[in-house]
Amino acid sequence: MNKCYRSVNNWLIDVPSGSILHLTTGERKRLGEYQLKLLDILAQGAGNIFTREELTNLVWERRVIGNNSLPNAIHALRTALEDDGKTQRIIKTIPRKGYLLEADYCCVVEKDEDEVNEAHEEAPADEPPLPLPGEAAHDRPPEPIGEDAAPVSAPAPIAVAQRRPRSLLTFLMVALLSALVTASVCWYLFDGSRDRLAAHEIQSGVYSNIRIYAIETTGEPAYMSANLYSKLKDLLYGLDQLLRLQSATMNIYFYSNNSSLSYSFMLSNPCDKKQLAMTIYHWRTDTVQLNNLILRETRRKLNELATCKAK
Amino acid sequence: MNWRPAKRSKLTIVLALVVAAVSASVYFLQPTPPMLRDNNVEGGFQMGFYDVMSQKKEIYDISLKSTRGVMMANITSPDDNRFVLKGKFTPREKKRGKIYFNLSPIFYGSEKKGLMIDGLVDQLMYSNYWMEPVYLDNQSLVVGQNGTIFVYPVQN
Repeated sequence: MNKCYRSVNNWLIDVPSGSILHLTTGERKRLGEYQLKLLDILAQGAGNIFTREELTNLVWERRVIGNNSLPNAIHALRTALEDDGKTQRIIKTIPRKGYLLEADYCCVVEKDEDEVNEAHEEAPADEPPLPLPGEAAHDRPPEPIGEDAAPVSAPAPIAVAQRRPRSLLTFLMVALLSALVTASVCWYLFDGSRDRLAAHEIQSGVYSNIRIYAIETTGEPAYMSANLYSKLKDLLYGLDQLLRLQSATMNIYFYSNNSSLSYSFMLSNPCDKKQLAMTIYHWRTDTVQLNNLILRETRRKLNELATCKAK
Repeated sequence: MNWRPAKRSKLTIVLALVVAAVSASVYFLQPTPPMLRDNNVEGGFQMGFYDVMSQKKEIYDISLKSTRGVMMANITSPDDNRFVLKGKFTPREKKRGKIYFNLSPIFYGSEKKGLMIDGLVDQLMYSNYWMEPVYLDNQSLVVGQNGTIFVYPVQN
């Protein structure tokens, strides 16, 4: 919801949050309660001269304050608004009269309340406000209304200097998090394990000379390997004995999309290797014929395998 | 020196750049499968098509040679010396672990009709055939789009 805010030199006065918000950069500076109240009063009567007494009564009401409270608050506001006691572009000291906020720097802006609040939430919560007049007044020399001398003590701490490390840290954290999230998403999209084929050994250790590997789509239930193995179990026992006699080993790889069975095997002995990639259609129709086919082809390739010469 | 806080729009730009850089790195730093990485690998294996129902059988000898990321394939039949398919597989793109190839046929000659391999030939000629490397212990398997599994580098 849009709300009207006063702004001075592009700094929006956000009274509820006790801070001022830069309209362009989004930077937020926390101000003390009375500093903000003083700024608000000056902004309300921009272009008018407020006497010292008027300001003291309006801001601090009936509170007892030190002589330096008002000049210090003015000084803090100037610093916060990027003004200073010498140039007095924004807050002018009118000799022997009081203070005046230059109307040229003031305007009323309409801004989304949520946007202002959001910016407030992003600002560090523990950021100290600019020193309250009552607190800082004791170690700061008075700012004479007539002369408006430059302050001797260090200027009130500006939020920018304190915000910096935290902002950088936040930025780095967000960048790192984005990088991690992006890397994960990219991995998933470009080269993720979803819908990937993976091989895993089944019936490990059952046969001495045969190793069986099922190739299946990641995430799908492994019913196919159990189904095929049950059809070929007896055949594989026989083949294992045959391989043992010939001192050969065999790796079997299979994959099925149901309509056809891809069954490949690699026969090895110390001096040769043979592989046959079989594509078997209608493999479910007749288990006996399937067994005979695989037995026949395995024997054929086994016969092609070179016989190692005895040393 | 006082650092000015980044504007939100600039922060968004920087984050977008980070996202783009990471995406590009992930995409381009995917491991190259050995079938494309190994230069001048030559070998072959036998491929068979079988139909249990009609008791048909077709055997083919496959010879593969990869040079500079391109795979030259030569398919012949030990039972029919008129059958020859020569072609060049050029990898087109990598997507979800699969490598899509374009086949540039060099020579194809077959006298017989109605062969079981015709399905594969049609698939090779008219679609972007993919192969997926599958890593297993110290072996490197390749699974073709038609389900053919072979160990790479190939041995016949």
